[in-house]
Amino acid sequence: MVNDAIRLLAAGVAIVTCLLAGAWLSTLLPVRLPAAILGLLLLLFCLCVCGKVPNALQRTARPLLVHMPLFFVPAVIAVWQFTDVIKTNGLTLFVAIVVSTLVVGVALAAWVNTLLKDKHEH
Amino acid sequence: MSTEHIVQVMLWSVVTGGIYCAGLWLYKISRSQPLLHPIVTSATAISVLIFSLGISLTNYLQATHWFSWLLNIATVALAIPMYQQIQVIRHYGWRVWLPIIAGGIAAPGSAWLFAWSIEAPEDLQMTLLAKSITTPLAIDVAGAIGGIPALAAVIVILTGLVGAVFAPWLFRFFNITNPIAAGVGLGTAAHAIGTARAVQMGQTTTAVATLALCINGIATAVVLPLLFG
Repeated sequence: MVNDAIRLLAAGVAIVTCLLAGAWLSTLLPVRLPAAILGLLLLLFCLCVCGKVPNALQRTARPLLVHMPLFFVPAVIAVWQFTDVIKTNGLTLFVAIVVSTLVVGVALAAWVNTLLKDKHEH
Repeated sequence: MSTEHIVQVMLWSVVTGGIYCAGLWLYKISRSQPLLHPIVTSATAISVLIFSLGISLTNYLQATHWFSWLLNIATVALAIPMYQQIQVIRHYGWRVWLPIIAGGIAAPGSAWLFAWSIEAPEDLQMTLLAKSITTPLAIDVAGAIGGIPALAAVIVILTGLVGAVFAPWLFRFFNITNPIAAGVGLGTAAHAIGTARAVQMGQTTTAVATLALCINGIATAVVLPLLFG
């Protein structure tokens, strides 16, 4: 029981360490890349070296991933700070955000869907 | 840190978490209605709460600022589903990464083209180019190419929200059933929020969406400042 808790905690520390290493790395690179993306790549690299995902890591990561939308809530609320800009550029923003995002997203998915279907048929 | 600040942090974190749980429950009993996605219901409920009680927006944002830490930690954890599906990604090769790159150009490109065609202000046009990459990156890139950093954050969040809420519904409508296809669409058009949505659609979708998030984020951050910086 206690051992298990320690393992989960260690897995959490490992993820945070990757994030911190990513933050440090981002200050060294000539192009600024976000700490989280660099941390992700570092963890991916570690997993490739390790050859498997430790059970504790899997269990610690699961709730974080499943409830990721929760962590976006304050960022969405922050949009209220910019109602003026949104009002002034309403049409441009609407087309750019709603139309372009959905058209591109769906067209891409449809394209990949067809590509993969062809691969299966051959 | 004052005691009052700590109380505020605890209060607003618990309120946000509680409302999110209620939103999650509502989403479940509505059988995953896209408009009732917990991120939509939680943000709406909290906005109503803040404005009806006259609470300062800045207070709320300061109290919940640490959520961005959790977000970063969760983003790092995306390496796990990506690793577990790396064979699948390798197996399909260019059929996955080519559309991701094409979409990474088409998503901001189409938004910019529209803004340019209606002669929108130039700083707005530049900001739109950073729309499909994850927030911290978009803020930096927008600043570097003569856009408006604060607006970039808004555009990125709304892009992700719209993509995450409506894209899965449209996939069903157009009969796009392949989990890899859904992952490419979500990750490329709706970056991290789309990827968070992909987690609910299965591991393959998550892995491919994460791949799209990484490729586009890094490529855009490198290419845009070189072109316009």
